[in-house]
Amino acid sequence: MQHFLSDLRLIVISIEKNMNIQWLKLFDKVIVALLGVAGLLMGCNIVFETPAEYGMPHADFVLKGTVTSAATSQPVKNIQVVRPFWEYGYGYEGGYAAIGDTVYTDENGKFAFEFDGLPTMKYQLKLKDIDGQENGGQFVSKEIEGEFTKADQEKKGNDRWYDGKFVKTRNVLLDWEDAVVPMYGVRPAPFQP
Amino acid sequence: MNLKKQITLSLYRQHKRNQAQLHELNYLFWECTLRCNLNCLHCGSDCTKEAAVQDMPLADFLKVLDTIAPHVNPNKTMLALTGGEPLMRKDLEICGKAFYQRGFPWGMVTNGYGLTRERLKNLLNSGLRSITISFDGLTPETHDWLRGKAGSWERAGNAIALVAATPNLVYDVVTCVNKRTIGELEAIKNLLIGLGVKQWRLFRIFPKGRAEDNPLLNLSPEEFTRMLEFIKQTRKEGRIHASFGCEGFLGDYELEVRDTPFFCRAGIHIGSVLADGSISACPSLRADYIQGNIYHDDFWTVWNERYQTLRDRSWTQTGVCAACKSYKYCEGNGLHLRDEKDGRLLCCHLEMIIPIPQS
Repeated sequence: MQHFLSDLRLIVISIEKNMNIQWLKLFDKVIVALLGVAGLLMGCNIVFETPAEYGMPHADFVLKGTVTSAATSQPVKNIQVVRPFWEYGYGYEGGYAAIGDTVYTDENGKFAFEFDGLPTMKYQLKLKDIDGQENGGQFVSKEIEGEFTKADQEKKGNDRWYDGKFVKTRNVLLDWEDAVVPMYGVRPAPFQP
Repeated sequence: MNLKKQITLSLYRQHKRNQAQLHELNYLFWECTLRCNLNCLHCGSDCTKEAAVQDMPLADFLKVLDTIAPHVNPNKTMLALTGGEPLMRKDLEICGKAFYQRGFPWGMVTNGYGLTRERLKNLLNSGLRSITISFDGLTPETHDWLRGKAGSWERAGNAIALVAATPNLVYDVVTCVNKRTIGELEAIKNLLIGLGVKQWRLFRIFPKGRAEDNPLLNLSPEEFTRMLEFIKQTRKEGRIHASFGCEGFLGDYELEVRDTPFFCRAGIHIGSVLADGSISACPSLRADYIQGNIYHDDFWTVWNERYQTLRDRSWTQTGVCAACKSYKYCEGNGLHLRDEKDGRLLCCHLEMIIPIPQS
């Protein structure tokens, strides 16, 4: 088999030098067909593209949810939801990081992120009430973590680096910041140095 | 009451019990003067232009702050200046700077009459972080009537416009609703929205002080329920964040008209130093609720060792509260609504809520 491949490579080089592009493409198709037959004979797949040596497995992700007041069960609008930059050592060591993003919940308390990342990717969300009492009270900031799993896969991957699409719904309950607002008193305010 | 709300209130009940045990001071009133430039019909302090009690010297109140500062996080302990009218004090900016230097955020409750652009600027430079302005009517006719001074409506409106345009200042507007203004609420709301106001608190006037014998000041059950419905609808609209004051338990209206369930925090999170040095909780709690006096007691010792009647409310389960099914959530309503001598409940909000036809 090694002699065959070696000879084939020499033939290809020879033809490449002597043929124009159109003929070369046609010739390549013939070669690919032959490789397909060869692959069948050898019980392996040598027709389809071999993954790039320095490629990375990746997948598409949708991370969405609804932020709700724990006390009232009402959706909370205008909560800042930060998906931080994926830091070194968080789920995967080195090389690749999903870019962080920030969104704000809409009138129905909904938020959504769409991004590309490693198939076994963990996620982290930081939620913060940025407008004080305006969205139904001052809510305590919250950080949550989680991981996409096979159960979240909505679209299959291919035989290359792409691992499909994962969609996860992560609803979040926020507690009130238990603010003191007495009768005939002012609203509490943070000290500002 | 639906199950979800019952569960929430039950959990909150435990939270209240825990907080009563912890009794972490994080809000301190200072009744910095009893002088006032208005003559309100409903004044609970019976304030006058020249009060019988002199303004407390700043140094005396600072001693209190220095006593508590090692035991609390000053940055998270709100100082609320009340009166009287705090703006009557000419040294207010000096007071503010002293609070600021000690790391306390501070704010004041004002009628707005004396709040000019220049005064506000000076107060902001002195660390003012929060302000509450009273606005009690759609027109001078109703506001000035309640406040007892011509021109007070216009001054309050100007003050509201000033603070609404001030970035990074926490503020709200409060309205004492009475028989003459219950029908004006929708129009007052639109007026405040027009002024740029985001937060609006509404109270009823409680039957104490000068308000006790004035029938025009006290809402009927139907009017009171309409007021709650108005707040509920306004919150749904989302144009301005309206809320009912912290004065009492509201049954099915809990969590509908306020951000948090009813919790009378007097003596639990809230302390006060009154004009004569009395140590209390909310300034509306006087007479038998007084726990000591800064001129002969150490405030921090009083805070830790007294206040039993405010932290254990079981004594309130008498009279109308004795057989009330909601007592476990209410625990005797706001303490300011109890007679200061015999503890009798003067007003039950729950009893005032009646079915009304939906408009």
